[in-house]
Amino acid sequence: MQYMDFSLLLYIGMLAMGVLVGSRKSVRSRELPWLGRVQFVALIALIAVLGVEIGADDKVISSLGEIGLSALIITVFALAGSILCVSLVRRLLKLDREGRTAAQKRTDCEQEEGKL
Amino acid sequence: MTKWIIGAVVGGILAGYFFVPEALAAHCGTFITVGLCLILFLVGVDMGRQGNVWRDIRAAGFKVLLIPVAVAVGTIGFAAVSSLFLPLTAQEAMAASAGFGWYSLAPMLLSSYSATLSAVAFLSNVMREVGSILLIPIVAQRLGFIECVALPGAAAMDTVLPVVVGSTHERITIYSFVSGVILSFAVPVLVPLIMQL
Repeated sequence: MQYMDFSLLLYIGMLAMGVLVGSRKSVRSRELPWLGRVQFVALIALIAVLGVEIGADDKVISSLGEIGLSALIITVFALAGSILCVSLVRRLLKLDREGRTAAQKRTDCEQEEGKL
Repeated sequence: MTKWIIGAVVGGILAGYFFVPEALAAHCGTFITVGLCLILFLVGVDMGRQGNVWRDIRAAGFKVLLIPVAVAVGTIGFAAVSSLFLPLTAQEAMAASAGFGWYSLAPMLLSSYSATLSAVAFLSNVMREVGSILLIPIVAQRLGFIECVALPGAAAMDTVLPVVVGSTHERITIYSFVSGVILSFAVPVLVPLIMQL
């Protein structure tokens, strides 16, 4: 992550606009098979550009030899620690592996059955 | 999905290093913002179509606030342990990790302490972003959806948000967003605070 400014509001706005559009009856009743595909292509493009940005940054490569191992060890520990703590909290909150409460799981199952 | 994500990030890094001219790389930020807007809009459409947005927000409720706290505790706590294997003090390792993946801010906050620490903070937070992109699809399958939110730290609200949602479920959007926002605000508070300990 590189910067934070008004883009946060922009992102929330885009999400909210999507929800409004998606909630419209005319959109909900229609099957939109391309929606997932466009999302996937945009996601892969975004990740590739993120990679380009990091690969083109001279600072990353030049510091890699000197402090690369230290940075890597900190990162591995930080990632492991945050997963562990979040996993504990998730169990404490009684959310299932897919992040649902028992009630949510029930309605999800009912919706699935309704579709069948 | 996993293969594509790993291929894209590795391919992107190699392309950025070997082929892409600097002038072009300077415009990556604009492309990323536009791409994120498009993806977030489409994620929103998906959420709207499912019609469970309010139910899911209500179900998440205040619980959602505990996730970034857990991420911060886990990150900083384990970073302190990692210093046992490093030529750094626990304080330095904790401060570097408290960037939560925000690799442009953490080094700036640490530049007045030491150039080396600032560089470590930069690199480790870059690694957190790349590492989280690589690991999210695997963590989603093996451990759980909420755990995916932990990996990117602050970037869970923007650049890595689509990876989290794409690998899990639209329902996780709110967890990812809220966690990323709170951790982002925590960075400029926690990094100097740790250095003053």
